[in-house]
Amino acid sequence: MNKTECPLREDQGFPEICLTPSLKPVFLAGHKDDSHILLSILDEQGKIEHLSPAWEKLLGTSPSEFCGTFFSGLAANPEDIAEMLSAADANGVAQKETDLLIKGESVAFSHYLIQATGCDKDRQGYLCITGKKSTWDEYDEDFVRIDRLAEMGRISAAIVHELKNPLSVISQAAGWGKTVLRDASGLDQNDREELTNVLQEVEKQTHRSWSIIQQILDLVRESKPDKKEFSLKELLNTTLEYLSSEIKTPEIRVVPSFPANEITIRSDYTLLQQVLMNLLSNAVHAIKEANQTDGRIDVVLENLPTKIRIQIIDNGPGIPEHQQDKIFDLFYTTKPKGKGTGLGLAVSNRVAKRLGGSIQFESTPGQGTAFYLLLPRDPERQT
Amino acid sequence: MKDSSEIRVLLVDDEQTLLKFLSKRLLRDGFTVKITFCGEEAVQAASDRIYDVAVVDINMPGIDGLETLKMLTEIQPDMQCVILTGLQNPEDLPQGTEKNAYRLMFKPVDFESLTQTIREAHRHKLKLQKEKNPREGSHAQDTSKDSRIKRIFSKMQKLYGIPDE
Repeated sequence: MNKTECPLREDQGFPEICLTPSLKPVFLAGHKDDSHILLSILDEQGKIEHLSPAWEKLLGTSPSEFCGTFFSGLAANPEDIAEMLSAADANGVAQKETDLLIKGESVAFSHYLIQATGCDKDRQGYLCITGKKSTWDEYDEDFVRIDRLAEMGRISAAIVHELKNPLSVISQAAGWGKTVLRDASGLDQNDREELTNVLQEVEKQTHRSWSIIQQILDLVRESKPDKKEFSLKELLNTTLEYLSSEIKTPEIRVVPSFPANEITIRSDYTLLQQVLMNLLSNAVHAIKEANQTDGRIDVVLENLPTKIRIQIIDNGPGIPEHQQDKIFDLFYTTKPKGKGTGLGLAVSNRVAKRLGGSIQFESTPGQGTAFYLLLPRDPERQT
Repeated sequence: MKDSSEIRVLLVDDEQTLLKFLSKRLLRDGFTVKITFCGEEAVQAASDRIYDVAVVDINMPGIDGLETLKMLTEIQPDMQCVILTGLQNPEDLPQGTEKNAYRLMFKPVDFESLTQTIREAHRHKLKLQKEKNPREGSHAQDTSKDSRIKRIFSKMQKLYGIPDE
């Protein structure tokens, strides 16, 4: 036994035991009131000397009731505990996954057993750290799921990328078709028009496919944003101009509300514009779909103490409650078939996060929806 | 299209159908076009004949686009290379691509901007040649007897419609 080992004393309410410096903090942390760590100290025979407070919550009775009883008495398979004790005797430590009987039910746990010594070397004992197995399994499942999603992302990016080749061919073929059609003689005027329309439609749909591909690839793209400083008022005004044709029929009133002073931000201009375009066109579509004649979109730019907030508030039909938790999901769309890609908000949400911000929303069916884009403010610049 | 009649374009892409349509459209616009489906073929073509502009894909089996680019400009230092890639961003390209190319273009390419870029690249080539050799014309770098004969032959080929291969 060397001097670096830390004794715990009975007058602190702990059994007298020596722990290594790295274990002592774990032990003490396990004795805070709100701790979930299940700690126990066993004597050399495997009888319980001490249980940490978390055991009380788990067992539903005072831990002192179990003192002096065998730890294996808690186990569904007492032999597993005996096996673990002898493994700890041989190696100093042991690990075992075995069920405990909790209120009559068998629950899966993982146990880590560490040999410990009494301070005056007269006794041998063990420290046991117990963890609920399902907690680990849940973590594991999460990791598997995240990993699978990441893998799916990579695969779909590759597939989507491959689509570029056939699409390139289609668009060049359509272009060539149009040239041939222009040169062709002896074609009936109606046929010529019909064929021209067909080829134009091919080109149009090819373009649409390109934009879907572009959005998906933007989504999985991992390059860093290109940050520079710019005025948010200017960005908002330019973005609103892009939408001017969309808000003419039916007329939607766009009410900007910007503070008098300039608000600048260091961020990626293009990415931020992409997010704003998406939020604004969602608002426009919401109003249009409801065939409203009193459509109104408020665009509010605010400088909050630590953040910049851009609110985009529409008085459209709102998002039904059962859809609210899905709107950021990939490929989730409420637009009619062929209209929405289900990418807009999913991508915007990702982009906002990448820019250090976030998107939040509130929606009341029948009254409208408010989207909030929160962006980090450059801490050194207080304009 | 008067100004494209003398522009010789070498297309390199493993997507054969794409080149089929692209070359038809370029020919229709008056360019002289040679299509090759891999780097090796392109290099072979460049050692047989002078080209003004090469349009090169990056991801190809065999010699990749960047290597092809380097070999082409080694054979014909004045040839201008336009990269036409399906990759998404400039940073996805192998290092040195930008330095070796006249311009980077990303698929999907708009046909009109492609032809415009080819014409610009051609003008750039003429300018370079004039700077290097103010008296001579567009084939100034190519003065060996052998290539003169080749040049005459290629003109005859064009005039009399002798097939390329």
